Amino acid sequence: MASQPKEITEFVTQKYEAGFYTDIEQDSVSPGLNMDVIEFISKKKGEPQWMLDWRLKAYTRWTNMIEPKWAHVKYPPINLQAISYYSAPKSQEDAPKSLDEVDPELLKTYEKLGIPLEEQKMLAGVAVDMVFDSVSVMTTFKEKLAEAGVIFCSFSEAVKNHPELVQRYLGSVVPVSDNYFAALNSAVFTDGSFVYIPKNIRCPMELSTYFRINAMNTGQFERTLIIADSGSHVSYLEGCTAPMRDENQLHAAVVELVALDNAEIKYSTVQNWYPGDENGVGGIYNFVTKRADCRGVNSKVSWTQVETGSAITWKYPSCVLKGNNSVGEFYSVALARSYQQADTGTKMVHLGENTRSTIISKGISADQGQNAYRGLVRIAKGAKNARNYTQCDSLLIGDRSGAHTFPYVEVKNKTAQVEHEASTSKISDDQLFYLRQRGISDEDAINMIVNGFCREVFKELPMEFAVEAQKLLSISLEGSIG
Amino acid sequence: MSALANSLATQFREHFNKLPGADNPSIVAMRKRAFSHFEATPMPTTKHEDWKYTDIRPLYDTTYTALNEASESDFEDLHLSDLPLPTFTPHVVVFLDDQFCRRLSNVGALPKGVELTTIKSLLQRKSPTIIDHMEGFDTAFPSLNSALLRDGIYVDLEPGTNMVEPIHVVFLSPHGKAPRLNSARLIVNGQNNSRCVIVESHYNLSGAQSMTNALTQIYAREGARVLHHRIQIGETAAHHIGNVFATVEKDAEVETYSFAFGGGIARIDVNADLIGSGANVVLNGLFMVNDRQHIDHHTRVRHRMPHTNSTENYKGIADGDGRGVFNGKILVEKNAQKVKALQSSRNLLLADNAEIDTKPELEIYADDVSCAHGATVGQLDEDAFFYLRSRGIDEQTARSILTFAFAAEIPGDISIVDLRKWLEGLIIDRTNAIGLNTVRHDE
Repeated sequence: MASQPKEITEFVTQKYEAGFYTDIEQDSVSPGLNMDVIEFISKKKGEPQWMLDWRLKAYTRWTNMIEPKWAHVKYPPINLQAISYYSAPKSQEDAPKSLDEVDPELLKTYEKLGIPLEEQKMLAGVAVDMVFDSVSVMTTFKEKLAEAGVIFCSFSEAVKNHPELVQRYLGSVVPVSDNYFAALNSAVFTDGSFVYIPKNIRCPMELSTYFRINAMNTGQFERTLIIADSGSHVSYLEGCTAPMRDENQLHAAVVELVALDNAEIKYSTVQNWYPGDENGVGGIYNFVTKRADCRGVNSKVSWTQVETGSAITWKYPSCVLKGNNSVGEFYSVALARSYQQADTGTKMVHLGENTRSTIISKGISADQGQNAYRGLVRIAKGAKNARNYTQCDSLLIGDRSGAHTFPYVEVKNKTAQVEHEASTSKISDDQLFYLRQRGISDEDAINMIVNGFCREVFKELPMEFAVEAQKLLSISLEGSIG
Repeated sequence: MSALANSLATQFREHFNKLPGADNPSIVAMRKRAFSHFEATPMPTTKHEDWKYTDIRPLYDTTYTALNEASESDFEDLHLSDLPLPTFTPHVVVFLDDQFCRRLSNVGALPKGVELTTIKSLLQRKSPTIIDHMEGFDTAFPSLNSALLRDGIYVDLEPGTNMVEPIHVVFLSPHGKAPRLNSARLIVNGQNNSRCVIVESHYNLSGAQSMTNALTQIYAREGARVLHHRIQIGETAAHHIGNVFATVEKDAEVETYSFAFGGGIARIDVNADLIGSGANVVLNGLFMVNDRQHIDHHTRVRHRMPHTNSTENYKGIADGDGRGVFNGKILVEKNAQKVKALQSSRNLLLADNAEIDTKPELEIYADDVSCAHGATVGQLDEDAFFYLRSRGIDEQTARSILTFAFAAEIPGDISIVDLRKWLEGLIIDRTNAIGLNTVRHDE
């Protein structure tokens, strides 16, 4: 964008350096995990003492925990001492200089997704010129957000600029010792997003990590904290619709959402990490802890996720429905193909009166993919008139695929109504035959049926996301049909 | 080691060379292996996925007497007519504490091809085939049953035999002074194209502390059909561990019902293995808990071959401080295509302190299948309740009518009318026992 005023360009560049890439010159720390490494991370990030203490507390707890084995996934043991817990963002020198240096397979995928050239460069990690659409767009957005009083920044910025909010809410939804990977994340997280929506504010636009370019490079251990104050509303999009090649093996993120009285948070994810090659080699282990706390009355949290990537997905976006009349929703499409394994679902913990939850989960297994839904619906003793509806359907494509369902229903209150239904089947021959005899190719027919199967979830996604999610699904399924 | 394992180890050492088959080294060796398997298997805790909702510590913390000779004289005043036993069949086999009781039993005239043999006599035979049924269990309690086993019944049906009248096998744990552990065993061998109806009931006659460790093995060979009804009635002091293993071969069918009415801790595992194409299994169950009772059903259906079907329908009613647990697993193995599996778990939660935990699971490794499950936890339908009230029916009666209507679906499919009526009577008694009035309607 040659026409852009010089000042803006400079400003953007500056901001970028100061805010996001300050550590660019730093070396990585040698692999291994101990107190020194945590102190190193904290120091590098210029964190206050309380943050370091918090990390060290998490680390101490973590050392006493053992890796959970209950998930329906198989993987070789992860050597956590072989991972480097602090590597500065990839410097511009290491990045590919132009698109010619990028894996052509990756580019093909971008093309199919209809991603503009500039964005393609960004996604592939090409050293991009700072003057380009989304950046300027981002600045205007930032102004608009600031006007509304919305705080949207990286986690490290929040620690520096809004310590009172971070201290108050960090770890209040996912305690440091919640689980093995959450404790690990609490000890070593490097960055992430922080969102605060003030009272009675409807966030003027959908927030997305997409606009914060370097969020992609925060790597393995990111931490997201979203606080919706009383009466506020926010829609947050996470992830990226294009496959990111990432050499990291373990991705253990923690996402905490807090919804106060009458607040609403909508959290959408399209996850497409590298799933490994066709032989099941490589790929991301995506072990994520996501939880929302509906603290206030009439609060609402809605999780929508489309999971097509990662070698192993292990995540259960959950809602703790504390406030009376609070609502939790979970809509999920999970695809496991080639050697992918997914063990995903949700937990709905009803504590308040008149709390309601809805779970719609669609699992697709193709090739040798193994897809498991694992969900918990717990109605506590005090949760009068709680209501839950769960539907989880699985679609099988190929005779070596697997679909599994492990729903837990625990009811301690006699006024509760809980329903769960699940079905597993393959694409019906009748449907396929109907489409084929209308002249639709096998592949298109299957895409159409799969998209229909996922419709209930896609309609919960913001429009652009829904379109891309559909495309993504068809790309992911490509070639999986005899 | 737990109190249970400790005391049993002492008793086992003392008694193993006096148990049936003690003169046969292979049986003695089998008992020793089975007992060490029990000892080596750690006590399940609520951290074990299979025992997540059932805390079995009270059972392991108790010292039970097993294996000592119960003398018939203790039960001389006991008569068959005193027992709440139904009269739907002339074939009744009664066990008192793990011993066959000739006085109370009435085997009657069996049709040709049907043979009832006590397991004691099978163990005492010189070349027992019974030993094949004694080992290879994954869990502790079936092994413990094999180690301590003194008696039980073996039902054998020759190919093509059709036994219309039910065989009722009754296991009684009567009034003992010290807490007692009984081992009950029932083996049904339905050879090719045979048919039979088995009723297995477990009673705890008094409020005395006791534990029953029951094991049922059902084999439905090619084209055979076995109808099995399991009824367990216990007081809060009576603990019950039940394991049912059904093996269903080609074109065979097993239909098994589990009725569980009370018990301190009652844990019933029903396992069905479909090992031949065309095999079919129906698993139905009903539990009713009250007071501080706890009933846990675990079912596992394993579809190993293509063209196998399973249908499962479980219902539960929890009242008082009772807790009901259902865990149903359907496993479809690789290459087991064209499988149809249905599972449903529906539950009524009637009291503030009651609890229902249900976990229907599907584990599927083949694609051309049609599997579905459903689970609900809820209350009596308000509209139906209002309708009955508007007809002038008092609250208690309306509630019991609706509770009965909910439960009666399970015995409703039983084709032997007398058996069904007896079960319905038990359900009505239970609804009475849980403080709900209901009029016994004699049809």
